[in-house]
Amino acid sequence: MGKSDATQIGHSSRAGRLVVAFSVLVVSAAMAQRAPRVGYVYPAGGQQGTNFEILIGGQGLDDPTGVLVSGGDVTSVVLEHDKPLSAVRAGDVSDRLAELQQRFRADPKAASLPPNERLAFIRQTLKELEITEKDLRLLADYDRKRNDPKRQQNTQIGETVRVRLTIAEGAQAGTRFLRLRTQGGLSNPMRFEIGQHPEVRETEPPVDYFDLDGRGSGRRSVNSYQAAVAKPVEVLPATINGRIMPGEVDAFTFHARAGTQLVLMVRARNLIPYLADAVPGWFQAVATLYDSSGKEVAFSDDYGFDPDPVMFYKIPADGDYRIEVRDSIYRGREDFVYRITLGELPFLTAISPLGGTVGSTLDVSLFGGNLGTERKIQYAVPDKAGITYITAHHHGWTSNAVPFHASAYPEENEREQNNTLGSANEVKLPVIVNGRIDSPGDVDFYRVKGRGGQPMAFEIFARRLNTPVDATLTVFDTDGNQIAFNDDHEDPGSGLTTHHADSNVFIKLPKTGECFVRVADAQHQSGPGNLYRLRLSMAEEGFALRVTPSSLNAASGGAARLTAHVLRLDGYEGEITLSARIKSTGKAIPLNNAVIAADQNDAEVSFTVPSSGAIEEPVELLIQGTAKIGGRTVVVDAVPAEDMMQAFIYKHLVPVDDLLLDVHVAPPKKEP
Amino acid sequence: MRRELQRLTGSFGGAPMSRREAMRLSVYGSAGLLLTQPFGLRAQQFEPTGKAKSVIQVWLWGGPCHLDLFDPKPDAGRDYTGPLDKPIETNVSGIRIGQLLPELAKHADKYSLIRSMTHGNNGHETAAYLVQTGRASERDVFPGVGAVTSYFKGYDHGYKGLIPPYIVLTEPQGRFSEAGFLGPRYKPFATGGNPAATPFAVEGIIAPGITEEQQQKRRQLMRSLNTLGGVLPGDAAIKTMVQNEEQAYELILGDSGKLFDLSLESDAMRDRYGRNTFGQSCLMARRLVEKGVPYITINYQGWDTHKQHFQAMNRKLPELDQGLAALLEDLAGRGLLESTIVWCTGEFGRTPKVANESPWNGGRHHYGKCFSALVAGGGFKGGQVVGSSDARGEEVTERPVYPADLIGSIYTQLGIPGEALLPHPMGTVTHVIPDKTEGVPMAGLLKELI
Repeated sequence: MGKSDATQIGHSSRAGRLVVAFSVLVVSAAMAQRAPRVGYVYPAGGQQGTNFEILIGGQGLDDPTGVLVSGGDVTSVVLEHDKPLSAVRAGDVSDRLAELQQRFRADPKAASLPPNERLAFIRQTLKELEITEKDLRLLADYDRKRNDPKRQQNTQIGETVRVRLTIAEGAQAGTRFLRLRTQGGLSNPMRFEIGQHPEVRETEPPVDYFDLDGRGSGRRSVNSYQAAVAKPVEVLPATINGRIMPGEVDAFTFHARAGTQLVLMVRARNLIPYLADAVPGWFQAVATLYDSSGKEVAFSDDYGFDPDPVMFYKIPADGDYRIEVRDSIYRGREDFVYRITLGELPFLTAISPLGGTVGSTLDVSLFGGNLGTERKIQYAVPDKAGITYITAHHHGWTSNAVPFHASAYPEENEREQNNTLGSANEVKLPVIVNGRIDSPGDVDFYRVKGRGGQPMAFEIFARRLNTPVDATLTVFDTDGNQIAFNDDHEDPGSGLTTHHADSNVFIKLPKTGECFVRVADAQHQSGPGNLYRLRLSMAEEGFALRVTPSSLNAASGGAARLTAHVLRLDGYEGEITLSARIKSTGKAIPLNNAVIAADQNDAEVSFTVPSSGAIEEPVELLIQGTAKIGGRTVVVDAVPAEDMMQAFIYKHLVPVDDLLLDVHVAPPKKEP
Repeated sequence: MRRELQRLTGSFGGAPMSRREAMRLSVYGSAGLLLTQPFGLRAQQFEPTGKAKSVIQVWLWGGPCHLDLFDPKPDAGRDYTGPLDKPIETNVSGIRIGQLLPELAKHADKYSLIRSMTHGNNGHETAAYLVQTGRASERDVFPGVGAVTSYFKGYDHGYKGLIPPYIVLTEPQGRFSEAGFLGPRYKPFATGGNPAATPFAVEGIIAPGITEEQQQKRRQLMRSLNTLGGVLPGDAAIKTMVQNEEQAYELILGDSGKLFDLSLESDAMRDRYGRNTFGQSCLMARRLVEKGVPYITINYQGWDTHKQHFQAMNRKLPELDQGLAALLEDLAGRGLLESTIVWCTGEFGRTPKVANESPWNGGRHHYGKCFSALVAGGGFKGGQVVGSSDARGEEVTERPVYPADLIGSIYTQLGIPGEALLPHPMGTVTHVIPDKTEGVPMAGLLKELI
């Protein structure tokens, strides 16, 4: 892989062609079933130019045919599908295993056989008893989950599919979305990372399936909580993969030289954002670093507002170091999957400014570690307003991604001192003000003009841009009377945010004249990095759309169903008409219930697929919403998303790369 | 030591109590409270009157599904009913309830069903607070019904039993501060233990494996070690402590403690209630009512069924059915139902539409928009249905009943005036039943049932 010394910058692109790789594609009516649901992928990523096995856990995974990875350059071969044994089947295998043990005991020569002959004896007997290796593996898993008080049967991740993946050398690094395809349809997407570094996988505890010498039933009692044996990481940088089971602490060792500026970045919540049936509603990883004497030298349980730990540590002396990772409250399950990137790698802690005007080119200052000497770059702001992501590159390695806000408004910087009504910065609407809560108790006032009755919108962008500001917005009239206030405002479009700290005020001024907008921090925190962007504008009615789920499945001649979620902006209340088309061909798809009424925010939409049988590959769809707003026709692309539940109660719309439709053949109706 | 004595005589702050502290206060303290007038918070000088003397709250902790219990919707389709699509007739014409409640169906004349409970909150903590205080959780921490009852009908108003006036069988919820700003004096005494086990090891009163003789020996040993009492014979605090200790031993070794000995009930009676924790808790509650305890909560866990809901219902509903029906019948048979309110609900209902998708595979989630409650006795009419929900149990269609309406009605039946003042720590005028200035959603007391 070529490495460059120059620090480069660019925004990540998640749109990309979809390459579908199938080992087998046999669609038969008899085999069709309900769509699969995936709970985890392990490991949740791999290195460019490598070939390796992954395990996909979920429910309804029968008859897997392939894996789809957004962005392309990944091919797959399905190896095996495991389904948990039923109690009846487990009893049957168990009985046969007991018979194997009896035969072993009954044969006077068997016990004294050398190991290789003994194994041959066992294999022959297993064959005679019609017990497969898979039976034994499933029985061991069945026993483990039944007998281990810390484990439980989780139907939703009880099945597994082993898949061999090949990632092309030139595959673009970054986060992709992986879906499993079965004859029943396409699964939900799971985050999957294409990485640059060699991959290491934790050592799984060995599992012996049977115990012929024991006095019991011949089934070995499995202890899945063996003492953590640290896995050595031979070369840095590297990406470590592991899973945490209940009570487990995973450990890894590595050698580092004095002066190395180590960056350790865990991804757990970033791989599986929300667990529906767990509290806290994600795998809350914590990481600890120990030196060769066993002394704890660094610890992290989050990074800013991201629950995933990040650690910076300058190695003081050559030596062997040890990392431990676990869940904060020692939970664990098969879907507690993590990746740790470790090495002297570039890491962006902040950028300045946090955003800019669409289509412009501006200087962006970079802050962080291992970035090289080039700390200021020229950045071409995308043409479309919204939040995009910036990464830095150094020595050919790509850093973490940080958000950048592209806006359609002119930009201004806050001018201190503006801490009182009387010293408010006068600004002309519309504008984005780049401000900072820079000292304890700092408040920033802005003076704007407006007409009585005219709707105005004031909005903070800070938490959505990963800054510490927990804003409040207060609006005063010219006499200093408070006329509006907001602390938190939920932005359903920000699906990974759990504390919606960015304030938003939508107001009609009581009379023409000036008003004052005050920005403060609800937690009275301040500092050089406590930056915010404040939109001050006349209300500009509009809307955004999310559609869920992002994997649509329909039987040939049947219907596909999706939900459109409307995010109404700046007080827009009108109706929206939805349309759909196949992205590659532009072919329109007629929708049922295509009009979202003025008082609706969610709408169930469906369409019928042709009865021409299953399709060879899923197709990507584009859903759009059209509305007449102020005499203009506004067309908005819907963002595909997953409607995820967190901790049994909270719902989040989490965006994904693409909206795919799969069509299969419906199973024949059963005879009554 | 003095600090410890002050604690025992009530001059402690409002810090959360450990179970051990709760026991000490409730056993030593319940005796001590007879003798002292602690706190700045004194109950108002009026004597509550009302038909009801006691309350048994059957708290279905986690949130039961209204469709499967008291508001069946057999025509809503399998996506809503699951396998429970055959409700049964009760002994009151026109009232049908869930098919796994055949015993309760025989006693519908003794209770009324509210099918239009609503508060719209789907969080366990916030909804539990709402249903038991009548108010939304904001800056103030209000007391729950049990603590308010204890405040107005407990030691401050002539209650003299050694058994604390507010008992929880068997575990406190932990997610809900029952006493709120009333303070620890009005917290419930949680028995711990398991009434279905022998003995029912009530925390601090009955210790399994320790005989009465051993207890007596311990008492003698403690007396012989009471050197401080010898040095300071006239100290009022020590005197109080000794008195408390005497009362506590009376509770442990005397007749009061026997109250918790369920082996004194016949096997037939114990069988009637069901030989499980819930059933025996119901029997225990009846014994406590007979002793005049004003408020008993049965915290019945296991109703938070996001997964495998119907499997759980197959286990739990027969338990609930047997225990609650036996309680109502037994109370009625002893002439106690007229003076004992029994109310049964949880913090919310559950989503009428069954979550069949992964990872739930047949579960129901939290649903505060519409749920049901059962009320019986204490002057509440039986055989009635209040309010209604739509065809799928998703919306209240008629006569919404907010938590403040239900618990306000309970206060009314207990003779606690709605306008009586609660001792708000900041001196804010706060009535037992929220007034209009508080903005608490209310649709009126349950006059239909009173």
